Amino acid sequence: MADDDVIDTMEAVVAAQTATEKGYQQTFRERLHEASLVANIAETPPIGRLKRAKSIIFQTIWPSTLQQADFNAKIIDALGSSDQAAERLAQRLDALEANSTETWGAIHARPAGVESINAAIRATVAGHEVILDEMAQLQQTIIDDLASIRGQVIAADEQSGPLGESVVGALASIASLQRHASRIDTDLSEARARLDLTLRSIRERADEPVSRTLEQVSAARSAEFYSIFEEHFRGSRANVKETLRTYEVDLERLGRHGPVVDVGPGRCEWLELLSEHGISAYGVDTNKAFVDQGTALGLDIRHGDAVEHMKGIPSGSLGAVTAFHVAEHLDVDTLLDLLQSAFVALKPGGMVLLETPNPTNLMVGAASFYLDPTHLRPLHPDLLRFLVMHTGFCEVETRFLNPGLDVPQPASDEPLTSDMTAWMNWVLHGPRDFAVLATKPGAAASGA
Amino acid sequence: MNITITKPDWGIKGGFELVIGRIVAMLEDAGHRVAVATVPGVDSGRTIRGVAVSDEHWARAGEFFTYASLLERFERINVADADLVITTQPGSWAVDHPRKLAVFYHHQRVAYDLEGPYIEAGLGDPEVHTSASELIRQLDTPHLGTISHFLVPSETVAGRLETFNNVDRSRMSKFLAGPHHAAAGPSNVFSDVLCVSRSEFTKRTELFAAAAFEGFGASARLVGTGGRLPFVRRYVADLMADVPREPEPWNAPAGTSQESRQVADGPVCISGWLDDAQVADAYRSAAVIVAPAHNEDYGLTLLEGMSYGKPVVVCSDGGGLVEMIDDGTTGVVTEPNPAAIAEAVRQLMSDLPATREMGSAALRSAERYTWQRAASQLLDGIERVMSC
Repeated sequence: MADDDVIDTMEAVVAAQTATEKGYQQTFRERLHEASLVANIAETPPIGRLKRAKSIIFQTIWPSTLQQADFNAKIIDALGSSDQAAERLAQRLDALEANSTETWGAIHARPAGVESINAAIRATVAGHEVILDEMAQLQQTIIDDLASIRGQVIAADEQSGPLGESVVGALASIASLQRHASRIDTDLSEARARLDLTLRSIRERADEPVSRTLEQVSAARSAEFYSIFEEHFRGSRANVKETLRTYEVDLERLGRHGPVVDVGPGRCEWLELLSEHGISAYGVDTNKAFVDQGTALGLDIRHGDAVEHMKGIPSGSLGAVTAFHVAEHLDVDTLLDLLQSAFVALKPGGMVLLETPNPTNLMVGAASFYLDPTHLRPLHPDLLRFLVMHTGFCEVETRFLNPGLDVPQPASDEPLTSDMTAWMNWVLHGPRDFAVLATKPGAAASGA
Repeated sequence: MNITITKPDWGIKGGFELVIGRIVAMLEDAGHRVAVATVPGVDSGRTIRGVAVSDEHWARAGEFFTYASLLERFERINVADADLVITTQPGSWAVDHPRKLAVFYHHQRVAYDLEGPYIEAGLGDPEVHTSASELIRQLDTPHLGTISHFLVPSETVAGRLETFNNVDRSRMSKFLAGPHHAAAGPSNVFSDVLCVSRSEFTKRTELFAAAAFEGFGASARLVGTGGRLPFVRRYVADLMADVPREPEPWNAPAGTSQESRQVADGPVCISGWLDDAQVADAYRSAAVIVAPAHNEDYGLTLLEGMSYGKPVVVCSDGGGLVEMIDDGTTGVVTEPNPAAIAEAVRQLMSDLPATREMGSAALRSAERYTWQRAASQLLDGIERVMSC
């Protein structure tokens, strides 16, 4: 007897695998077909559908001798009498795949006619969404209907007194159908997630010209990454903004001659500070993610290349050009371009302010500078100063920051034995950043 | 290609794990990206496919329920990213993927070729184990039907797949692993009689010990650990003390006792686990290698012994082991009993020049088992799956 028990349990496990085997070995298409067989219930009005299922349940539980497999078959049969809906879904899936292929074919074949291609992509996207929604609705209908039938069986049982094992069997069958339905639902959710991922990339492309260069594609990808990177390594916005307050003493002269353009404003801490002080300013950033963030903060931030931007505006129209932690991302030619275009765009008396990591702090120069994979090369304070002067700016100031000159600067470039402690402090714990501030010469006497 | 290898994690690092490591390296050398997807061999859950199993039932048919649960867990792992899946040990073939290659060394053997010996050894209730075996085969066969191609180590394993699961020979080809301990060269020391093996049911290391007590004409050494090692030690201690003991203990259950007795200076030295260098030393000083196991899939340690230029003694019911030697040329096939094994060893020890020559032939034979050949057999298997 005891042997029979354990063998029964083993056989139940094998029966359960045999029942699910088909499901696990099926392709998604086959599972969808199976799902929609059950989903055919959507084709008949709910009341009629339930009546039929209910009558079968009660026919079978009162005679009560029917095998559970037959019972399940009858229920499924009652819920869906034809596979027309399944066929339709399969056909639509085919059409949708063909449509996608055609659309992609069109993109490759015709680099021109961007508008019509975008329209085709949008139509494909819409098609995907409609079918996905329908699939989800069908799944929900199956689940709801099974729950409702279950409720009716329980209610009937309560009204007519205990019906014994036949009701228990019916409930077990319904439970098994419910599990089946929710498993199909899980499969469809997964399919939906995958399609969503594809759709997202289609949408991104649909919003932009088709003839993007590889460089632009990669720039778009890295934009979001860099935005997350900043959040992780540069510190919170609040902290960064706090360190920027060191420039509050300079705000008046920075804003004196006209609007301030901030190159690569990133998370816009600086623009926000300027705005709080009532200084007219805007930012120009190549990173779309940052542009969107700044716009959301209500700041004026424009998407584009700052050098091109400054070349495009009337010369002598800006009060200041600022760039925090931008110079180290540029090669020397581009940096010179930036300085020169700023020089042209600034009014006489206008200022440049460039802040960058200080490589004469060895911890910065040897290590933390390289945390940012987009950093090109460290700029020695003397080099940046030279470039600024070379462009034509005057009154060039090099200012060490974070911490400032709390760490006393050694008197000499050479480590002198007498001054060794100060020297070590400077090279290991000295300022992590420095700024170069300079003025475009030629300002009329302003009383300053 | 993205290739995923599926494997149950049994928490041990045996010969097969080393083979997997080699396979990963071969695939990466061929430019593939390889991931290994494991599931724990044993799960603490007691519900399989919605069927709740009581502790009592689990205890009575643990082999079955553990295996059924393992299959279920493999069915659920997601390998959608892979272009091809390589399945390995029992259970791992249940993974759902359209392109599967099996590196097939063995079944859940107690439900297949070892069903009878398992029951005869009193290791399971006959009725329960018979049903469990039948049902495990029912669970396996449909899964094995979804495998496009099988790489097998021996005719013995190919025969089992054909007999038990109706797998056609056209879906099988050989994958012959190379040795793990590659010998630096043949050794000229011919001193001990060596058996390198885990001590488990069907490995019959007790048989080696019993043969040693029949007299080898040389000292005997057993290397390797395993679940039955305490039992083997106790058996050897009984032999030493000449106390009454069960006949043919290699066909008996080991029981659960972990008690083992210290054996001093008997005819067989039980070394237990040794590190790679020590194992290499053991091979180098061996005169003869004995591999007493029953119906093996393949003989990795046999191959290692041969690569040191040593002749081997195997039993006629050794399965894949017998396939690997040429009787009378690279080794000797003998009956699976202590007297016959002892006689075969004594003959080899009494004519060392002939034994050395046999060892040289064994070395030449082992040299054909290269990892390079195994790699081409593996890549050929992949090609067959991809062209299905």
